[in-house]
Amino acid sequence: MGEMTGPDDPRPPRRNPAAGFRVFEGEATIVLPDGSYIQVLNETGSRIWDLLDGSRGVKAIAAVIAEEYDIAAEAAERDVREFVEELARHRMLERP
Amino acid sequence: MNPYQAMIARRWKAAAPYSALFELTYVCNHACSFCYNCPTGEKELGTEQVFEALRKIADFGVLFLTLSGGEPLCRKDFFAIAAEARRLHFAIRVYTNGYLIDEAVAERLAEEVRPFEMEISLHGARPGTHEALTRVPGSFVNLVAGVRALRKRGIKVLLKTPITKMNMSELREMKVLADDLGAGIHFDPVVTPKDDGDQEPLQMGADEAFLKRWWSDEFLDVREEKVPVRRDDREIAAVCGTGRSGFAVDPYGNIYPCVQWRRKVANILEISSLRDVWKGSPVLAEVRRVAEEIPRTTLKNSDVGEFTAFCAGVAWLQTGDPTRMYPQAELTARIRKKAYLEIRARSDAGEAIGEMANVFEKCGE
Repeated sequence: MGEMTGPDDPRPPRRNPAAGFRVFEGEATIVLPDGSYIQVLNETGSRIWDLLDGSRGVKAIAAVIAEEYDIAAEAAERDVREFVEELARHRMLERP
Repeated sequence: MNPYQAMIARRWKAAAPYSALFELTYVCNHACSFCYNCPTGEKELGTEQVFEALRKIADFGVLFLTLSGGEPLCRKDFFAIAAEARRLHFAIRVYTNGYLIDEAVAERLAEEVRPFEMEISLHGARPGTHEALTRVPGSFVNLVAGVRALRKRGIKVLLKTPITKMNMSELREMKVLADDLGAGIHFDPVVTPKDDGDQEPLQMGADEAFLKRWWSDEFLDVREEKVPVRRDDREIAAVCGTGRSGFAVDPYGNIYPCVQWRRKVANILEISSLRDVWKGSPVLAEVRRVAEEIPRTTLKNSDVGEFTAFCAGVAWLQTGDPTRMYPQAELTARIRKKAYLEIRARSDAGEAIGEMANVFEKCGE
């Protein structure tokens, strides 16, 4: 597996390709092989997870969230950054 | 209830399966005397057909995929199949006998498959015992080396052991071995019939005298279930997850409600989507109805129903009626109830005993 990324990494964050995941009723369930970590994300978290395909940076993802959920851009970026940080802490992201 | 448990409960209620067991082949490099597989001689699915099946299973929303057999690593295209499963974002479990896992295979499993768990069958603590069941010299040594190679790479390993007359005196040694290897171990005191109903394997199962010892304090250190738990069918009425939380696919592409209850639902290559079959199948409708009926009738009418781990598939194989209580289930439940009542009496008398309120984890949960 490649090196894990964090929110301050200039490269776009990407889902850990070793993660198994599915979305059910808008909520993503994610299973990591390392330690069999399982996480269920809420609807917004699941949408961010969906956007973490390595093609967008945190700002671009926050812009999508701000528009779709009708929230201020600044607040969206702060929330997305925190969320991405948490995902990175749990080794759920990887550098592309 | 944490968010994961809540998601599982919602999917059970909606009969939206999250797990599938895929028997990739019935070819095996072992000759276990109690193997439940019954190959028909039909042509097994080719690589592209397995890919097609995996895509349909993924499209259906299944998260957990168990690659099983026979021995799945006997397939020359195993790693191609596993790579496709990875591409489709399954959480992968591999059920194997471990015989083919050397350092190179373990490395490929770690790099290319990344299973969240490897389940490996262990039949004894010593080569002689294990190999008396597998009937393959060297299978014990290979298994142990394979587990070490997997653990070295951080892959979680669960050893699975059906308790038989041959290994029931080595359970503690097997636990020590598992601990030494850094693996978990699950002992199953129930041996099941073959898929075609042949009950010969039951002769190898642990006898009543041993089962009484198993549910006593004697095996508290190796038993996962410290206090025999009781059923709770109030939240989810179905006796188990058959046709509800998961399903099984055999090497010919036939879909079954679960690995044990082999009533054919359809062939995965002959359908355009699992979603349609799942909703419209009369077999699945019947299976789900029966699974909900069992707690209300069979178990309610039995004085040991609350302690019964009931498998409709085994009942069907043994009695021809999926709702009928079968001898193994009743005997085990009777012993478990007696053990529970003795422990409860000790608890009532002031002895500190945890886990008294735990309830059954349903099969398929």
